[in-house]
Amino acid sequence: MTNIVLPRRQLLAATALTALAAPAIVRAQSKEPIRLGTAMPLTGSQAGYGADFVTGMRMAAKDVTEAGGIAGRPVEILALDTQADPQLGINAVNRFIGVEKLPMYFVAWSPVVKAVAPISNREKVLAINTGANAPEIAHLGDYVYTAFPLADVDISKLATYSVKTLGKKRAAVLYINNDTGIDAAKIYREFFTAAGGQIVAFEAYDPKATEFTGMLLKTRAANPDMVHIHGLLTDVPQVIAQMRQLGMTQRVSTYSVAYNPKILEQLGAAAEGLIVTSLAPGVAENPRLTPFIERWKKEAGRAPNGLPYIQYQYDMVLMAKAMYEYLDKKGIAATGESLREALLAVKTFELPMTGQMVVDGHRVDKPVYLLTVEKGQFVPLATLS
Amino acid sequence: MRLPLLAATGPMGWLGIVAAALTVYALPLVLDDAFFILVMQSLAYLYIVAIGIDILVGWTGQISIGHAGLYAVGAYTSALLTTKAGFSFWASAPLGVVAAGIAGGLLALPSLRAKGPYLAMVTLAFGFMVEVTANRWDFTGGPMGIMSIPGPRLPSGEEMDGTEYFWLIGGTAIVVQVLTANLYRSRIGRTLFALQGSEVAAETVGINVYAWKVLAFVLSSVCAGLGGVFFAHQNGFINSDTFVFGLSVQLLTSALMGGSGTLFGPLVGSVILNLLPTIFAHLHEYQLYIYGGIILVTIVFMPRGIVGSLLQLNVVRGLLPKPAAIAPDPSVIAELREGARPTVTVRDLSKHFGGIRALNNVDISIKPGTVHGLIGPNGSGKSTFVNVVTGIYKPTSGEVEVAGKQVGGSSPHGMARSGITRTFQSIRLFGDLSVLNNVMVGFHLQLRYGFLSHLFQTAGAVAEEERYRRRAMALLEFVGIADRAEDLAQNLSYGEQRRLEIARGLATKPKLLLLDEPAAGVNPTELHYLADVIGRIKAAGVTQVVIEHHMELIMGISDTISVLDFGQKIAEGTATEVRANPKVIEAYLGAPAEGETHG
Amino acid sequence: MYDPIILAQIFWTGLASASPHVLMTVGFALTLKVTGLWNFAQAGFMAVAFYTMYMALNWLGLPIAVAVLLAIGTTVAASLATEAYGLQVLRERQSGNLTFFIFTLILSEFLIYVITLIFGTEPQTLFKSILSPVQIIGGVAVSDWDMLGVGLMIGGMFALWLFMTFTRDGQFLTAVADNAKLAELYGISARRSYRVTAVIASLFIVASMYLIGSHGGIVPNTPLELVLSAVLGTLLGGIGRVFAAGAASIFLALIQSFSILFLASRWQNLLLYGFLFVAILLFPRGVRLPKFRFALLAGR
Repeated sequence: MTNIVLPRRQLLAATALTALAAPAIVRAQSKEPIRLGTAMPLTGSQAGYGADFVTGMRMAAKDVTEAGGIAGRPVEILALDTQADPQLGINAVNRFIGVEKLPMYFVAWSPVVKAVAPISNREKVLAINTGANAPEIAHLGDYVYTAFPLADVDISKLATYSVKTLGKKRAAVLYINNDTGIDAAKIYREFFTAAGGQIVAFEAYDPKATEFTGMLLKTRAANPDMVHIHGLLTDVPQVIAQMRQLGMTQRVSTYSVAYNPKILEQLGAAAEGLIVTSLAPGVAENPRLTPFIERWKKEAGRAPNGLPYIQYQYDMVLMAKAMYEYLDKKGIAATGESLREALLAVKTFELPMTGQMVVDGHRVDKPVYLLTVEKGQFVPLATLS
Repeated sequence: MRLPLLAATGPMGWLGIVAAALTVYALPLVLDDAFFILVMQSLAYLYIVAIGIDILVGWTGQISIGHAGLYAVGAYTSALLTTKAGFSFWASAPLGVVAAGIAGGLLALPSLRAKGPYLAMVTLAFGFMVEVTANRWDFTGGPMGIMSIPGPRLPSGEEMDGTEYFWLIGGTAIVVQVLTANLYRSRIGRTLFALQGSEVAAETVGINVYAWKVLAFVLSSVCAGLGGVFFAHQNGFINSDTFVFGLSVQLLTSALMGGSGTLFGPLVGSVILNLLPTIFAHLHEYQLYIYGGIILVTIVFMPRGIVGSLLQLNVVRGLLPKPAAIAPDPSVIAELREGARPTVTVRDLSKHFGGIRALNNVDISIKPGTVHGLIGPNGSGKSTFVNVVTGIYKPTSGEVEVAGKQVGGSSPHGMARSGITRTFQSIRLFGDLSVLNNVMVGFHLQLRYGFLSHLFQTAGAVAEEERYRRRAMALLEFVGIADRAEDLAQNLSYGEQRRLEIARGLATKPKLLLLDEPAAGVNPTELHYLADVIGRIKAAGVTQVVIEHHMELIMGISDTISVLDFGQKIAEGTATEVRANPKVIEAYLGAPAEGETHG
Repeated sequence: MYDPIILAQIFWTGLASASPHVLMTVGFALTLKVTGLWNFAQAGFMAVAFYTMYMALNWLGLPIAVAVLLAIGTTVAASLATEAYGLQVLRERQSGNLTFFIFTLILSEFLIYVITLIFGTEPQTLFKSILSPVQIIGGVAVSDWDMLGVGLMIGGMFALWLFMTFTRDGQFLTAVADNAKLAELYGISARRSYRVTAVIASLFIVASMYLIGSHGGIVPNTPLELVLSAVLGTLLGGIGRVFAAGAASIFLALIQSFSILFLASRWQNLLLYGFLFVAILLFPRGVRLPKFRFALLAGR
């Protein structure tokens, strides 16, 4: 396996520096660029996804600029590191607002989205969630919106599917003890029982835990026929691996975080039957995806981490384009307030990678794609809407 | 003409305060950048915490690597009171500080019984316990923390903006620094530094070491809590992710790097550690290199921290104001003469360590105003005797009486209160304090003005300090080292250090002064001074017990000599009587005198 | 839940999972015993060990034996360099405990920063798969990794015991630990003992990181968290008692494993730290009694 870390990081550093230096360079060009801020983990344990998210946005920025830009202006991405940590997220957003004077920014990872909400509301700067799925995000205030479906969209459908279609009756829910896992686990429980199933085990684990034997033995003793794991890429593979090593053969489901080729490598045969959700159309549904993946492989030297999420990141630039151009047509300056109104006025966005997006207040609803692992590959399982 | 408060702050001090206040006022107006104002806010409250940590670590020499826990107590208390109980910031903030102080006190009480690495680890465990509890407990919001924490409101009803909040924090920081400076220059600071110098010696002049360590811990907790309160209301959000071990380390590092035990060390350290990341932020990964590298270099090459190392440069020392000359007040010697002169009696004293009988039914009566020698071969129990009489050991049986009153079994500082003090065979001075201040520590039991008076530097407290400085000077003259008054105690020659210890002992107005092998390691010239001092102390009316091996000295100065061997008194009398006593000769030489010598 | 097979499984897996922690604790405790230093730089060395193996296996495609040897090499080098250029300098300057502590901690962080720069922050494992073959023995799932862990743990401690009891260098370690200056008077080089300790600790570190890295993902910061478990074991075992520290580590791990039976997993950590807090306070070995030397005169 080739390690692309160095070139990618240099690429990021270089582009970040360029982004910061951008105004100086661009003044040489005709129009000032539109800068889109994104607060993502560029370092830390979640950087594998965060860095790729930013790359996805940059690809879109390049494409949009080459196609004429937003209202004729080039597009640039300004990425700041959050390490998926709330405090660093706060710092990053304060920089966006105080130093860079941005009217809008994109952000992900539930703990961060929640932490920066008060700032957005206070300063009237628009925050758009592009990857976190804590249901509370729909209630964080007037200036916090989501372009990414929250857990009540995919987890609810997954739970119902597990009962109604897969015929499971006894589910165990294992979840990470933070914003990412707590509410999503509750939603799974709610819908699984509503569909007629029974939750036989409901266990939280520490985000830093590496050893799950006790929890798994407790789970095994409860005799489930389905295990749903809601965690992060740093722990989900471990839980599954240790499950299998303890002789637990139940089918495992999780959410889109595990839709990642690395998991297949780590788990090998243990991944067979794993069900993951995806909130973005796959190669079969969206013909634009295959060339996009090829382009990514060529530029980065490997497959993208978390493809469905990256599809959303890419589309965010197009969404911003629609919002800015709405304001531009009306001759309104882009501020947090006006962009928010633009978001609600435009409401329906036709986006290249993820399809149609309808902004329904502080929520979006999308079809849920289920995939499963068969013979070491992710294959489509069902589409739920 | 003195002010009632801040009575000793001279014109330079006031100038400094005004300059600081103006800087705090002008910074946000000049910078006018919301992000940097936030950085400045953080710097200001972390600086307050660093001051508190320095009081504990730099002044008192105790370790805590769990202060993030106390910071968290302040933050969560204020956050919960405002979000769940509807308190206003102005009420919740002081309560948060008090809560942190109480938490610190509760932590300190059991923990300060442990020393060194054990204390460090107990505080470490505490820090983790706070973090884990905050993370798991629903009351504190669990891992998701507490949101929508309101900021302080002005009388008009509006919430403070970033600039006004910075003024609040910065102003508070200035106040904390001024109060800390007051303590630093007062008996409070002196006492804490003495603890770091030698806890045992501090006990013998009457300092309740444990209580003072708890005080230092509580002070540092209060500062940590104050910082935490400001932090909680800065961003409207807190969760347990902030209060991690790494924060405790960062706080310690800022105190250490700046220069622990100096007045402005915490400021320098805080500025560097908190501004560095922002300055180098655009260098992304290299920022961490630079940050870590700077810290490493400072720790290795500047062991006294930045300010500490600067203070060692002669150039810098030349710029510091020279202390004024102090006119000695000889009334302190007169008071020694007039002091009570009770008889100190040791009756039937025994001290056993397991099966070893270090002292066995020893009876010694020390006549007031005399020099009572105590001799004996190695292992005869002389050191044990001194340790029991000064309270370091409790007697197994028997009594120590001062003027007929039983005092045996007290703690060392209790014994000091009863008038018994000592010097040590291996000299124990407060090395970081000046010679004069070493003697000042000896006045501990006589100083009347307490913590609050010195915190606010009242006129009365300042006047008392001046009075006693003059008395200390007189004592230094008495032992002949007045010319070294402003030097650091650790820079004195061995003999001078001996004499300083004696001066410190005299400062306690002792009813009995025990000198434990004062001639050890002393050269013949110094020996002469020593005998002279002992004679003059006797002339001043103070009763002395001198333990010695140096026969010439002891025979020369003693009025009575008691001889111990294997824990028992085998002889007592004048020098001549003892010298001729066959039992004494046998004890030293091993057999009835026949020209045989033992090596 | 009290089925004997389940209890046996919890015991076995708990013991096996504890093995890398025991190994790193023994290394840490030995360093503390001989040098008197709470060597937080060990976190940095652990990162060096893991990433050397990772690079050798995944970037250079070397066989595992070579990777392990390389890792031993780099870890020993880092250890000895720190000893010679950092710790000895501080020792000569008679720096206080706090200075040593901060220095070793910042050194670890610095090493980790450098490693982050080279390797990035994605979780990495030594091998592509984190599973190892499992057999069911008496109803209990026993994996190859489990057996390797327990084997290294027991074998490592036994080898160390043999070394310290029967070889000269090993005995010197105890002498230097007891009283370095006195040992020097007898011709024992304290610095050589420090170097021997550094090498032994490195071996334990490499073994420990091999186990951890083949079982789950590691990010550069992981060693900083791991070293704290070494500190806990050392404290409970008692300063200067290396094997007791190892035993304490096992004990702590088993408590945590079994506590799942009656305690929600979210309170396990609190239990651990609370236990530590109370344990230190109830055994306040910080209070030192002045030594009483009593010269025994023969025949009297």
